[in-house]
Amino acid sequence: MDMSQYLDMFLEESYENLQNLNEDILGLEKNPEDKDLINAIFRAAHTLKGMAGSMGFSDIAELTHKMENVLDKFRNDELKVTSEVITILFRCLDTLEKMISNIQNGSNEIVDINEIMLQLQSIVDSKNSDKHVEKKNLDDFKLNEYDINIVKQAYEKGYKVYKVDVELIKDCVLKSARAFLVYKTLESIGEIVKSSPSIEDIEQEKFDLTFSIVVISDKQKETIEGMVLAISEIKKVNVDLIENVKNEIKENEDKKDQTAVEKAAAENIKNSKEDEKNTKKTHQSVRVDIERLDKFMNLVGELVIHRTRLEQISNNHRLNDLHETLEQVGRITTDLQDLVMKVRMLPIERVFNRFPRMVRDLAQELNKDIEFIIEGEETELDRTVIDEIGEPLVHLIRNAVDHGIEPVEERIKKGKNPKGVVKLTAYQEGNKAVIRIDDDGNGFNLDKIKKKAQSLGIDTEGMSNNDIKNLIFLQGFSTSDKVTDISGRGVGMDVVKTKIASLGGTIDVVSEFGKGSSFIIRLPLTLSIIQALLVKVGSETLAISLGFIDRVINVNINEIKLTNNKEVIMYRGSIIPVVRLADRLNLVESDNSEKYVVIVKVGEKTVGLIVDSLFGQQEIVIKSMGKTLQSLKEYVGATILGDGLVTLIVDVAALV
Amino acid sequence: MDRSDLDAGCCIYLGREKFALETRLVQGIEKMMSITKVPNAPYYIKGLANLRGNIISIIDLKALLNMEFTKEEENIIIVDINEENVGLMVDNVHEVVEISDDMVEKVNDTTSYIKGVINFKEYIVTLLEGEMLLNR
Repeated sequence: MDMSQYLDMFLEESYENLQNLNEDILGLEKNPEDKDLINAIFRAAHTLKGMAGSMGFSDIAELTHKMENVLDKFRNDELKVTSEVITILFRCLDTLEKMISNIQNGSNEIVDINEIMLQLQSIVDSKNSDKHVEKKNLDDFKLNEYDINIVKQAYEKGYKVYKVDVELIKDCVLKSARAFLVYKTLESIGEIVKSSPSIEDIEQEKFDLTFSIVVISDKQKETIEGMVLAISEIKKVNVDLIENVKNEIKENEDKKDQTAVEKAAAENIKNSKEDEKNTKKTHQSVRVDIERLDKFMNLVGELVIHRTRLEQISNNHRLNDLHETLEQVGRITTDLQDLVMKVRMLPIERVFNRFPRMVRDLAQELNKDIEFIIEGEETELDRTVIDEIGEPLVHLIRNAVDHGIEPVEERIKKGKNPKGVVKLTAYQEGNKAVIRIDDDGNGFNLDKIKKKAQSLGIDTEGMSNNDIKNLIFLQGFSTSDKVTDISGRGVGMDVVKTKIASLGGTIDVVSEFGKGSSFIIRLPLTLSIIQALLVKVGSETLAISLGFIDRVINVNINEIKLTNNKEVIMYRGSIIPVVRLADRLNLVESDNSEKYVVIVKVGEKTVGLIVDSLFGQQEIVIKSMGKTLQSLKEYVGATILGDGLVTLIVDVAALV
Repeated sequence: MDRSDLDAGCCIYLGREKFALETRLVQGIEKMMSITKVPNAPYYIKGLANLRGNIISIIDLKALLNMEFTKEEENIIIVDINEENVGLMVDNVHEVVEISDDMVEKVNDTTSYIKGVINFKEYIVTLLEGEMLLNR
């Protein structure tokens, strides 16, 4: 059978499951007792195993199976959640990720899973002999006193008690109906003691694909299995004999009084969590190929262009009735445009959610105690930005952990909380999205930066403190004395800055020595439709993104002065370097002595761009220029104006 | 003759020469459009044009093939080169001819974008290798 058509789906879902696993295991480290979390992890691992198995990737299935064994120990309280085990689980996830990415890249490289398999096995084995660990097979159910009594009586009468775990196939349409059939079948052969989720929830379809039922019956295990499997749309059924219930009953009876209260509390928490989950599920969504969205965007863009054209015609011919209709069309296209833009937006959570894991690993490696806080992960950004912003953020967070936060002893000496705080925040500010990375670490040492600057031949005389701090974004500028695995090679910050600039954003640093530092990244919410200023240089029309423009002034050619062989203008008492757009683009400037200077701000830099004339402001749709022209750094793309002509959009960040 | 090596070629005029492009690459033939110049672009790129809402690069085929400029081109032939539509400026499009592999005479020319020459008795046609045109 040809599996290739399912491959994409497999890859996507696997990555999603891996991400969930990463998050949940991280959560588990913090709350080792959280049974819901363990179950969630188990489910994700199980799904991964099932999918890999059905796609024929036996290595992945095998590894996840081993992982499941370990998780099962957690579930049955046979194994304590420790940092070491978590680390091994994480390594396991990394291995899985590598294997899956190999599949994606079509590479035949074989990832060695033996070592990690052995490690997992050793966890399973070592804890097996551990007799101290209590056995509780009925965790999921929290059998109450009454239930236990029934179970006890059943055993006394020679009946057997089974726990039946049923999994429905994925696209089962009438889940509750199937579940009900299972329920009925089991009821016909014995007495049902308990079900999880409760029968009411099952009836209302408040469950995933799995549910469990405890049944008292005199039938054999295989018989029950066969009966349940006879119902269609059942993927898997697992019947377990509950044997140790007798011992447990005694244990439970001893603890009864104190545990009753605990159980009630636990159940309460569980219920509230389940409610949460339910509300989340109502958020329905559809997976859409990004290419289709791009096409959709293009079509909307085209519609906007033609609307403008029609408006021109209606104005030229003074067609009133056409004008009225066009106004309606205009409103609809604006709504459509908003909508398609929102459709392309994704919560930044997608990028953020891999950082807790990274910070944890780094902190452990560096022996630092770090609390990592994420806020505003629901802030939405254009997909293109989401795809690109991860890498610079990795650099910044690594820096914060490695250079920012001091070692524990040093923090204690300084009278700081031994636990360092790294905070990642995202929020919307006007039409910009802001991402902040704050740490309460050491901050920047100005003197150190100055020294480094001097050694690189940069004169820091007369520079403001802020300017000096911004030197760190220069290439080859690292004040770290030693190069570590994590950071300090001096390649980081300039890459960060370039990347952010290429997304049309800016980065600033605020820092107080000894108290910490903050990096503030400002990004445009969307990259596809922007407000732009249309200018004329020579005979060509060009568009400049309004996001960069500070103000536009007009100057006489005589006002452009030379200093240090560079052209500058004086504006409100400050000297602004200017760039002749015509020179940069090898165009012929018009002879007119009255010019316009478009003052742009790229990060901290302010530069004036000299153009011949202005055409005004317009909303434009950025389109890519195609592979042949991609190497031209001068443009971010091109757009089609109302008259159908193609106009280039200059990349301000690359020109100044 | 094996059917698989049968292919059709789209004959185009360029100056005084005739060229052919495999029809599987040809997406359409357009009249000359208004082209926006792209400053700093390679010499053989005439600029960008709006093809029904999509922006495509227009290649000055004569410049690309080191031919002399003779007269204003009349047509743009849209070809799919490496999954991207680009426009090639040609004087005009002549006809579609059938080509089989054995008709193509390999030439000693080292330029990779010429697949070979076809002799049709009355005239000869240079067969271009579309995929290689922009590989430089």
